[in-house]
Amino acid sequence: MNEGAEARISGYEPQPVERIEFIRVLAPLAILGFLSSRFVHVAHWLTGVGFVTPDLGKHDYRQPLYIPPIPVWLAVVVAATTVVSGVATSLGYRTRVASGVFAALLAYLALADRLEAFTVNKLGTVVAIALFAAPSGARYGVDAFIREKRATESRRPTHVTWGNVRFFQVLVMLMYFSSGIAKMRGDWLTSSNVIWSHLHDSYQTGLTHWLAVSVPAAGWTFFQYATLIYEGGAPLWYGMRKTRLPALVVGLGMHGAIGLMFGPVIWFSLLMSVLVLGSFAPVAWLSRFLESAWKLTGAGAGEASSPSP
Amino acid sequence: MELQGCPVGRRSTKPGGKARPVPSSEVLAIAESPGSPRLRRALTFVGGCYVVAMFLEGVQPWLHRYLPQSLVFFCQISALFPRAASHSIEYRAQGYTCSDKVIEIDVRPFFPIHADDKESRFERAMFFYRNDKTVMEALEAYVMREYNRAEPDKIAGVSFMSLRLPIPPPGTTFPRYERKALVDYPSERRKVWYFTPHDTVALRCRSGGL
Repeated sequence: MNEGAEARISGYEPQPVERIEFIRVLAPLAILGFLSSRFVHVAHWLTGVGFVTPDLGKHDYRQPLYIPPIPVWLAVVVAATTVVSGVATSLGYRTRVASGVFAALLAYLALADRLEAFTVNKLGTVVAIALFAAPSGARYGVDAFIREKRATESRRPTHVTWGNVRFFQVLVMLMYFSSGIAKMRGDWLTSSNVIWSHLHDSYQTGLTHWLAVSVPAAGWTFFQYATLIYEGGAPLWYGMRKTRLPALVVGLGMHGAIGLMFGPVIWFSLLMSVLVLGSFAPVAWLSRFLESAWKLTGAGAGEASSPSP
Repeated sequence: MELQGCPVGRRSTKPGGKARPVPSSEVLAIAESPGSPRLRRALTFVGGCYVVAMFLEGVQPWLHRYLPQSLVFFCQISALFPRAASHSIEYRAQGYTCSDKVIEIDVRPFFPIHADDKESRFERAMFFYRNDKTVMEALEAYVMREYNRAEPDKIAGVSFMSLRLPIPPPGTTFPRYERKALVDYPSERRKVWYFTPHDTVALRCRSGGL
């Protein structure tokens, strides 16, 4: 198939660079936010100072790979390098190297210790690898700023090839869809109190308690089925242009509620919100955010995101 | 970064405004991913395989039979909270002192990461490994080491247990969550998962070195 014919097939056309750039700027910050409470006590995480799960010495889903504890100084270096590479990725500074290092360290941190491996750092690893493989930092950020300063005639890219963006879009849709199916196979169709049952443990915030004693029982059942419909129908809601924006609002509302009601889960909510926005928000929204940040650097004043001839 | 000019008739955007149609004569500046076209195609294929694997693993975990665990691990990111909780569950520890006392051990200072919620390493260790003797013995050794470092009345053994706290009926009021002492809960709420045998406690006390 030649390039022109391929591009005519829906889904294979170039995608706005803003989608990748939005995720590149904000996803590393959500991941680092999650890791920050671990990095503060890094010696209790990766070294023998704290409790370390011993080598189980067998094939076990809870320990996919045994990585022995490291010295304290090395743990500090790992933590510092993760922060620096994550911030550099977010700023778009030496983005290729930074995102590669960030991805490698996130993979290590997720595999090194099952006790601190959560969805955020497993998904975060995948996001970082995808950013490493994509032309992230091509339009906004320090690298783009330097390129523009060096060559005033050069054009800043407006689009990326389809796979870079479609990966995130399909990832988000299928993540929701599989969650919806898992919930249907679990208790979400047979019990009307699934959400209510998760409001009572140490994740509970002041807002959770206030809502739990204020919202009638039927309200929680409504939220439960609304969540199920949103997740189970995600490929449909995000696949159709007319339902995309309402789905985005519902999704952000759901993640906002989860983040505010389940304490430490806020970082997961933020990461998912970034992925949902980057994948499906109107490009004008993303462009406005990125152009505002870009102008703060003093670069590209007045330049439109559409290509210069 | 590789830039590619591409004349197409399609939609683009301008900042602060809505998407606008781009005349077919206008040239888009397309940033290509790094690497050769063959590498890019391979990466696209790998990305596609990943999202399919992630989807399948969320629906029904079975990929571990065919793929390395360390790869499947990164596919296990969906399907959160598929079931209703039957109880709120917390994990606690008790220590057996050489002066024949059984005391509750507040393990939170020994596990400072998210010490007050269920992302604590102690809670996670109990959640994942409460039936694994190797890990429970390592946990016992660690808790004893940390406790005996500061306390004059040494412990020579432990018991690790869960507290199964009932969930109030929907629509009822209930007090805000707070961590209470173990003695405030009736014994039927406790389930012991691991304990040091009495003989071992006695032997450790006799031999000293705690």
